Amino acid sequence: MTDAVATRPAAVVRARHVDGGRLLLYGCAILITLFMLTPVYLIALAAFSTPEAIFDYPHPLVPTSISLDNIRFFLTFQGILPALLRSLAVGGLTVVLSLVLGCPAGYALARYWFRGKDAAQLVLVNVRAIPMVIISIPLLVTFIEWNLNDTVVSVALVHAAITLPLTILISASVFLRVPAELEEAAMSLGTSKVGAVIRVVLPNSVPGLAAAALFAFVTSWNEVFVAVILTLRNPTLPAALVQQLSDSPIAFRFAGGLCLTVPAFVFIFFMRPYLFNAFGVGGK
Amino acid sequence: MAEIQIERITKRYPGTVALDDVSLTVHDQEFMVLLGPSGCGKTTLLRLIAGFEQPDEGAILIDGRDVTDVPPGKRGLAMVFQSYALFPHLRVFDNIAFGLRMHHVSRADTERRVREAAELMQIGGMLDRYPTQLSGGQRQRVAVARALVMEPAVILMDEPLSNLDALLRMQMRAELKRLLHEARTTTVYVTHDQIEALSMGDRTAVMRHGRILQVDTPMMVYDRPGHVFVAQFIGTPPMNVLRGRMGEREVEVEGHVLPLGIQDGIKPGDDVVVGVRAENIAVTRERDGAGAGAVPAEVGVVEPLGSHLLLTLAVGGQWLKVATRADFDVKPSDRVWLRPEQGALRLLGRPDEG
Repeated sequence: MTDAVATRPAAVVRARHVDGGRLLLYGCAILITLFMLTPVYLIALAAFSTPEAIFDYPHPLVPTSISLDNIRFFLTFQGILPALLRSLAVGGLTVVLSLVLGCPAGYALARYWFRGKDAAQLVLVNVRAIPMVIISIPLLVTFIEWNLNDTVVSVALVHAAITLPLTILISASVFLRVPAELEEAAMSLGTSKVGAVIRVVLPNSVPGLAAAALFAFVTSWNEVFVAVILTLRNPTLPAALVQQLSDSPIAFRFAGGLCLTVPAFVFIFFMRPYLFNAFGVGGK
Repeated sequence: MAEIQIERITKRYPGTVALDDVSLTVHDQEFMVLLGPSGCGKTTLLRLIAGFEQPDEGAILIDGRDVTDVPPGKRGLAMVFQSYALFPHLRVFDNIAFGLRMHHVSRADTERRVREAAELMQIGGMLDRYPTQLSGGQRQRVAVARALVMEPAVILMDEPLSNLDALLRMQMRAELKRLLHEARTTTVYVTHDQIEALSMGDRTAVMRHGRILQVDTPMMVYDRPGHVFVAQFIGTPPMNVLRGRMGEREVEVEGHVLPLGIQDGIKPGDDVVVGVRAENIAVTRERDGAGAGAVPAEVGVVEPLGSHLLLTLAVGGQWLKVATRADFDVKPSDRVWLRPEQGALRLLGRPDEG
């Protein structure tokens, strides 16, 4: 909070001298926000309309007839609610897996030099270049052998594999910001190496790791391809929607689109205070 | 009670030797300063004592116990870092209490000891604040309190005052010296500031290129440097270093003969370097006032420093600095006469030993 107080005078000065620049900044921010939010708003508008009002033309830009019929219809539709819960579970598991596996790797990249370090980083980035289409079939075969096909765990494992490279790189850059001297101070005061990481490095890395978690969750939440391939009777929400949308009424589609969007927004909303610190804005 | 023995330590990094066969004994309750320019190995030596790094060769003993393989937290020492290394996510109280909690000190004792340490460092009113809400000087105090509260047998300090402004640094210098004396700990203090080294330490180890050149009391290091580098690193201004040729019991500098006893390892006729402090040279306008053995010099620069005048003078082809009375009437290009005080000349060795 002190940082906010400290930056206020600077902001005042800036406002007095470069009003034009500030206007431009806010104008751009508003444009970007509109660009992102308009489709969401339109979907929400349609989702909360009565099924009949959807086809009104020209369509009103403010809600005229609010109705929960579409949402209720969507959520009570066969298999949708379980799919939504499944998606939450896959997302949560993906976050846990990619943080638990990614943080130690990120820490190693941040603190140590080892043979092949540069190559390892390069490979990490390039893993994303491997098309999922190519490895999805062998993966499916493997999961069938392991008796994991059509389960939350199998999808979360692949989603964790997708998000892991970025989790590692993000967490490495987060750990780089925590001075090694803090760890040494903790160790000189009686912690072990691991104790110093847990008591000092992790608490000071929360914002950045929250960003990594956010990225992992949203990636998993939106991922369709792997989910469709790996699941059959137990699809995630996007997989369920893909299978059903094409032969559903348009009201159902809007309700589905909204239900797919909202949880990601809620997740981002709760992560936002931590995210801010990650970019050096605001303070404790 | 803690005596630190450093026995023939060598530490290599890829491409460099940070410490080259270094030995040093720090006595119980002694304030030892490691002094040297950056890259001389002083911080590496401190980190080895702390246990953050392992030596490639040699051993470190604290109170006769070999701690070379003992982790930092179990060596009975506390460290104050140059950056202070306060934990940003913890309040001042929890920062100071961190080590006590790690050592499972009871809640009541922790509370009492933290408050005592905070009072001692005059930060008792700031225990609820976060480090980011403190000034540099206050952070420094928290860092020292966090170390002192452990009642360690050994305190290690890595340039603890270098991030403070000049006035605050001078105050903290005296305060730290008093605190550490009263705490009766053994202190190893790293600095590149020779004034800190002279004013704080019981003894100073002057280092360069991974070796200790001289270990002595501040007065000895200042007055009787055993090495040209030590002579030129310590003192403001540094000791004047002049090239000359050794005689039987005198040295010839720029054609002038000055009395100087010979030392082991030097024979008459050798090229030598001799040192003399700026304040140990008498300067007069008239030759007669200087007496026999006076050396003529030409004034290059006159710098009034309030308490005295600092003159930069040319003697033949060599420059030296001389401190004289503030009211000495002199201007550039004047000719003056110099005479080193009796016994003020120091034989520093051969020129190739620099």
